[in-house]
Amino acid sequence: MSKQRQRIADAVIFVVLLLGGLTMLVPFLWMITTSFKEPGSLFDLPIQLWPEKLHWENYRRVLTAVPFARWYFNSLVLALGLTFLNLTSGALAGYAFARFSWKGKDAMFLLSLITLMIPAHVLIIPLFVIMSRLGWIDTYYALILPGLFDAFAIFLMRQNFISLPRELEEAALIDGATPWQIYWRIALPLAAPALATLGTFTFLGGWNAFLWPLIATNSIEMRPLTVGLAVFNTQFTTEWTVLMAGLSLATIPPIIVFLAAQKYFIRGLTLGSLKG
Amino acid sequence: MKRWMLAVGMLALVLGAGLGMARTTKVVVAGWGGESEIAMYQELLKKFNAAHPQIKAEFMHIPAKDYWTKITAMFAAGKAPDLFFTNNINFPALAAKGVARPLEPFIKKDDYDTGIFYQGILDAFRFEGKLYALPRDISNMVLYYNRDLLREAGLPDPDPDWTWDDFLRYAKALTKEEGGKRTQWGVSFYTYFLFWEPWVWSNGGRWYSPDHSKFLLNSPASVEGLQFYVDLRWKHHVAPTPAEAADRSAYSLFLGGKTGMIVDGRWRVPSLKKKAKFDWDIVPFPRGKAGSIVDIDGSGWAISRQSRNPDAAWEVLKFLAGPEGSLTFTRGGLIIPAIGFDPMNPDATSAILKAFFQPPPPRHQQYFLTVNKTAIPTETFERWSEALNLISKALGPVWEGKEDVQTALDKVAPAVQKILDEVQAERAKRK
Amino acid sequence: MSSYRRFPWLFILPSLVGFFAFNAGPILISLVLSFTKWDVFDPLNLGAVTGSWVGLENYREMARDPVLHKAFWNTLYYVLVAVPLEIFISLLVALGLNRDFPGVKIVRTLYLLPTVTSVVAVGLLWRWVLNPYVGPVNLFLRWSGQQIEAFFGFFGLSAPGVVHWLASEGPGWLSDERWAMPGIILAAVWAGIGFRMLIFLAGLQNIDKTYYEAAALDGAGPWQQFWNVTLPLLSPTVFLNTLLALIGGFQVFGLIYVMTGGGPLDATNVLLFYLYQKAFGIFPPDMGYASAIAWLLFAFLFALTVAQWQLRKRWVWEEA
Repeated sequence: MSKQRQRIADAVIFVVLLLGGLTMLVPFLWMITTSFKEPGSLFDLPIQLWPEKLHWENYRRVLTAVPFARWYFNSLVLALGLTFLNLTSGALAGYAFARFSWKGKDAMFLLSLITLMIPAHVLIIPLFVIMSRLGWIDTYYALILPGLFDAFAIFLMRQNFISLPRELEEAALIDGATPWQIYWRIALPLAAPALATLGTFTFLGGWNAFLWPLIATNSIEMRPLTVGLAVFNTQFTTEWTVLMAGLSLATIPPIIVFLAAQKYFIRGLTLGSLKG
Repeated sequence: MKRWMLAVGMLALVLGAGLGMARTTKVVVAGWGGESEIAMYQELLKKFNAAHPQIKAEFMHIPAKDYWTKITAMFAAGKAPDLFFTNNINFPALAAKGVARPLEPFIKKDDYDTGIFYQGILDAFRFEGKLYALPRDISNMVLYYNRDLLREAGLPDPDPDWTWDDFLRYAKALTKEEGGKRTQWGVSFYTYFLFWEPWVWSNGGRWYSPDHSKFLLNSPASVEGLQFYVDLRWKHHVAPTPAEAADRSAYSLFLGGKTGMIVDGRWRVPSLKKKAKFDWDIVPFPRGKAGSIVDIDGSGWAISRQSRNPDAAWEVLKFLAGPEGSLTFTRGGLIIPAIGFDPMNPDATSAILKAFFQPPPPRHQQYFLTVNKTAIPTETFERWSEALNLISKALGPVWEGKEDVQTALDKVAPAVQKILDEVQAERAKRK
Repeated sequence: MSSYRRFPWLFILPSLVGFFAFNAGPILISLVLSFTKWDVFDPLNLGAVTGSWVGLENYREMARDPVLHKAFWNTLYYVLVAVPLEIFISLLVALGLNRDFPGVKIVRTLYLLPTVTSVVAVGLLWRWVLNPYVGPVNLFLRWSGQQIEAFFGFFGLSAPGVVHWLASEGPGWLSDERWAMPGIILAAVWAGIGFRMLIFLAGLQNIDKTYYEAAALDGAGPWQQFWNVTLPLLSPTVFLNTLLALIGGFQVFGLIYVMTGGGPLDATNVLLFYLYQKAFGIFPPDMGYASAIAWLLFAFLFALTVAQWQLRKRWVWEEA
């Protein structure tokens, strides 16, 4: 193909992709512009992508009438807590499945995948009962600790560790290092990109979590944003403008995480996928 | 010498700690609401705690849309709140499961007068003869109209005693066409059950027989009433079809001046006051063959059977449902109080009424209270929401104009009757 | 290096503790509950379970339940259509964004925006997009239909019935039983492109450039390079992505809740949604039945996963 035709083809592809990307922008923009609409406006059609006047009082209300900062903090604790758990316990287990072999290993791995396939709706009440008996309801423990075991994390990290070249580890083994030391000094640093990827997915999941935090928290102060903002959904009506103000502010950390981690993403998952 | 001093000292410490430990009973009150309601609860409970030093009442807020999910989880774990807010729709299911405590023993012990409440809403919280909750608020339906649009069409304010024929006449006069397309309609159209019940009842129809043993929504009187409503959309074209509404909600069409009337509840008042750019008012629901019958539903608090401090809970309940609580909630402007004027209690109850009557619009706020005389509660029973799911699903094609009411309801009748039969069997077992 | 042949206590311990403390219990309990008609208001203990034991009754009820059958087929329909679509489209997008031009990072982030946008906003927006009367999709379809009709008319012929329908009405989308599920699939696939694209990008960027150079030296054009180099080396990623899409496909809930509520007439009711209805949508809940549906869903998903695992041996190319 001539250079010129190549360039035209590239341009066309770029335009098509850009248009596709812009459609992704629309609901996001709608959410944000709704937060500037006059309080009491309905989240209704026809879609008004631009408000006549910028009403900042929605933001004032969401920041002052409710413990917004505390909710933000709770969401961060939840998301970061889950991420920490996955990056430690998940990576450790992933390494074990990748580099060790024992009787029943495959069965264990299969069993762990089962946890991904049972819908959460039927698990939350039994889990709530367990947490009640432990007395952990309305604490950060109840919110975060159920994330101690995460099959998705183990699956991803196992893929990643399997594909790491073994030469370095073997060399260390010959030098007398224990598997523990090899893990911390060699394998884990090499897996940094995969960890960044896993961390991003986990952070997003924790940030958006709703059902379990709803059940596991009683007091208003312990709620993450998702549950807290539901206070604007009263039985009579929904205060869309204020709700959207809160939700718009809530998009900031995940977007930061996306942008920041993007440079790791790309190199991250690949090391896992080649050697499934 | 020193050793016994130590022993006495320790004993004193222990005793002192034991006595000093406040012997307060904790009462947890669960309810839903927006932040203004949360503030009201907290204000009320603070007052209560100050007046009752041995009780520490605490409010647990639960978001409205997920309220029942959380409440059932708490019951399942044996950690139910002492007092919980409930509406009369979900109430029978709770009462049948024995989840709430009957209030008669408490009422008798205190010689409590339930006469200050509207009897209709008290009945809504009775199950198998026993009362299970004290009401806070009632909700009903009135008809809102856009006075500007009415004047434009040369219509006076509707007479409070107006009939369905009058209503249809008004609706037709308010429907405008321009260039072959309708630009304005007489009335907004809702498909949620709360908004079409009045049409069934006012025509003499019912959903169920009073003992919930027979499905009656497909009986002639019910079908006639409901069909009249559906015809507004597909026969007389005075209500927007889905195409014409183009996914705009019924309320937003009224607010935007596109429909002249809408049947709705009192919760619309704050929004209309703030955002309506036209003169508006309310009038009772038009009179059908059996009169003008809307719903009188409501919410109140019940004492859970799991509560370990039912007597303390009862004290809190009396306070929240009583005149002081009612006054606080009524002042917020969103609810109609369940307390009516009580000649035995004139000062307190008239204060509540005064708080209810906020500055106009609407000019005729008294209708929110007068319609209660003929209103009846939604015909709920233990598995009402399950039956409602089936009925709503079956009515889907009717709203779209693809089926008539009789056919659709006849199709779902066997399934609903089966639920009713199962409920009767359950009730017989309980006896 | 051969694997260490012993049980990796330290490595597994945290996960194991977590599993037995918070996962195993609820999973087993939900299995047990599927054999009961537990009244959720009865505190959960052995007595409540034995008192409400019904054996296989829930499962028998499922066999008789027409709504469940509908939900089952809808789930299958959804998964068989949405997953391939998602994989295919996101692969194209990933290929297109696998270059390094100015602003490419921003365009990639654009595709990820739906994951941070409130599902209510996404759902309502798609309801408008798919609105049969004023939504852009049908406006475009009607316009196209009219053009085709005019084309026929130019030759003095009358267009076939389907063109006429297109020009005057178009699909009824969310209010039409036959078009509601396609509508949901459109919205769900659109929202899911970002994640899938990301995983594909990772796989693409890891393909060693030398393979391409070697192929180019052999005279392979871009299409042949794609077919013989990219696709095989990408196949493990395709497998991973498909597996994740499959599991995700069974978890579609939010969009259905906002856009159709499972209707019209259960046209978009899928197993997970029906489960939600039985667990939290009705009052009082039927947790036993919901649990039975959960285990049916699991069996279904598990079977599909195993099938994919077996097929993997055939079409996934792995480096020796």
